[in-house]
Amino acid sequence: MERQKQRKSLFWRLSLQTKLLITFALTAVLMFVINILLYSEINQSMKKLDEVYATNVSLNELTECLEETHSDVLEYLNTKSSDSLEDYYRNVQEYRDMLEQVNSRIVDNKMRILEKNIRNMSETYLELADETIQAKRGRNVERYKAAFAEESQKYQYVQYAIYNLNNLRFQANSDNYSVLLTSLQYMEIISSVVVVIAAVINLVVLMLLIRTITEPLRMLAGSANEVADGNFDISLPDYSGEDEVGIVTHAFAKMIGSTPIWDYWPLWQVCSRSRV
Amino acid sequence: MKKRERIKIKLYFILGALFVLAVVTALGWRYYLRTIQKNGIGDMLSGEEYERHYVMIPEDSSSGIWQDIYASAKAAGAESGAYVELMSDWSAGEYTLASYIDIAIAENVDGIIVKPDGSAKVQEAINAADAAGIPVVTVLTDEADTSRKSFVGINSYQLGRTYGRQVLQCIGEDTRQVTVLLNDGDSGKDLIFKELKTVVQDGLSEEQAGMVEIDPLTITAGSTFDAEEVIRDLFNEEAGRPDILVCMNERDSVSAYNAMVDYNQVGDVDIIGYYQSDTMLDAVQKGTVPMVITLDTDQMGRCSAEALEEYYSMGYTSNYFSVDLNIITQQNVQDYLEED
Repeated sequence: MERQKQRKSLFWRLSLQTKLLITFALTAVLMFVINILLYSEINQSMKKLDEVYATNVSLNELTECLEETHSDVLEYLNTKSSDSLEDYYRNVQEYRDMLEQVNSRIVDNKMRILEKNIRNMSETYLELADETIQAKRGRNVERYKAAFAEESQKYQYVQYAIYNLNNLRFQANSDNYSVLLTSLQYMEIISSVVVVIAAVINLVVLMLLIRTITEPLRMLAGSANEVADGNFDISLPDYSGEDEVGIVTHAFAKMIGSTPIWDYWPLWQVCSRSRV
Repeated sequence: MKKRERIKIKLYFILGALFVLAVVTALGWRYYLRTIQKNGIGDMLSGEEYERHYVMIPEDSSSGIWQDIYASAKAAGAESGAYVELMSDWSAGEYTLASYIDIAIAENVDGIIVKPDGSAKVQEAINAADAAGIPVVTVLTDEADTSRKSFVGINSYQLGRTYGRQVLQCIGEDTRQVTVLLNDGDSGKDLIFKELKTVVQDGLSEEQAGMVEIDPLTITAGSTFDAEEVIRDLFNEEAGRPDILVCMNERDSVSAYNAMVDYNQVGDVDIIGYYQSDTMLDAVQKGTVPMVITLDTDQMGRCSAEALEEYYSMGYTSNYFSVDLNIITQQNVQDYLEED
């Protein structure tokens, strides 16, 4: 009981400005926390979508690099230029670096297993491409022609696999975007309702707080009017707070109680006449 | 006292409003999470991890028999840490079976399950897989002259004799023509037909054996829809229409049944079908088809995965895994319908 009284007196001792600030801050924090909780989940879902799209983008880059590698091999076989050989080695290195990002584990997931297949087929393709280049450099005509035919076949396999994976990802992303869009629309409605309720609570709390300020001031004004009319037998509002309203109330009570009233009679008369 | 009560009421009101706010927020969040989870956002890239990767190359990935074989193979593989992939995504392409095996070799898988089509290229592809260190298990039809590690199915001799016994049951006094539909790609088709014919002729009296003609009708692997056209022609022309039609695969069985119904030949032609598809089970239940012969697909899928696992762990495996043959008639069709 004592502790409750102490707690209560601590709040009542705060200035009006502080009380208002605390009330505003609490309600603002409440709304902030609610919104953070709601939108954090949306962010998580967006991140998951990003993960898929990230690999989608990298698949396009993989395809482009593979196409460049294959055309470098073709050009080298046709022209045996050092430029095409240099381009080939550069693209092969770039392609290998990209393959490092592609899944290599055996996972019971259609897209993941397709990635693994693409990675392994790409390795097979690169071995054959290398064999073709080496056979060309060694002028082994039959060997490089046979290797190139096999390499071209593997190139088609890899391209087709990447095409399939892109389609799977596109389909999954489309499905997920539809779901996410619908969920976001509902989230918009729910958020609006939550914000409105929080605003109403905010308003009610503020109204209640402001009433605790204006009510004693109104009663004090009434008492002052009584005194001005010559009625000194008044009851002041029972205000226990130590904020600005409390200071004014105590000061008024002190004024009424400590000085003989007839000392102030001329002043009251002057004030009353000026009012009239 | 009154003032205190007023303060309490105000406090309760505020707390009540905060509670309502919390409830609305929680309900809204729960709805959102449920919508997300129900539609599987975030599950796109997750899955259980395995140690080995086997590939099953189906004849027709959308057919019921291959779906059943794959399901049991996948379950059996999962028990021992192997993932069995169904090569269904290649069905839209222009690749041959030999190409599919070549793709599996390029993918560097740990094992291949395939039904050969009898072509020389497929035989070469199986041998190439073995040379690359990838064991191959054949199902339904065999290529014994290749480096395949095991065959899972029923041998042609046994299959032919089983069909022969069923044909005997269907032969009546008026039966004159028995046609056996064979597929070009089945390597054991000649033996199947030979045993079927032997069993039928041995089971008939000399007089009746002389009256009943038993002929093969081989469907060549031309364009995709050749089999259906050949079967339609069979029912269309009265001259060539058989009294008993024996089908050796699911697709031919369903085509034959539909043609029989369309040409109003129910009761005039007895179809001995293959595999317990919904259409054939329904037909057996109605009595429009006398029987359907089916392999135990669960056993087939399981044995094919176990053969690869055995080879992986021991370095060798059995050369042949036999699977059970079941005959579905009107007496026991209900058991199969209930399973579905």
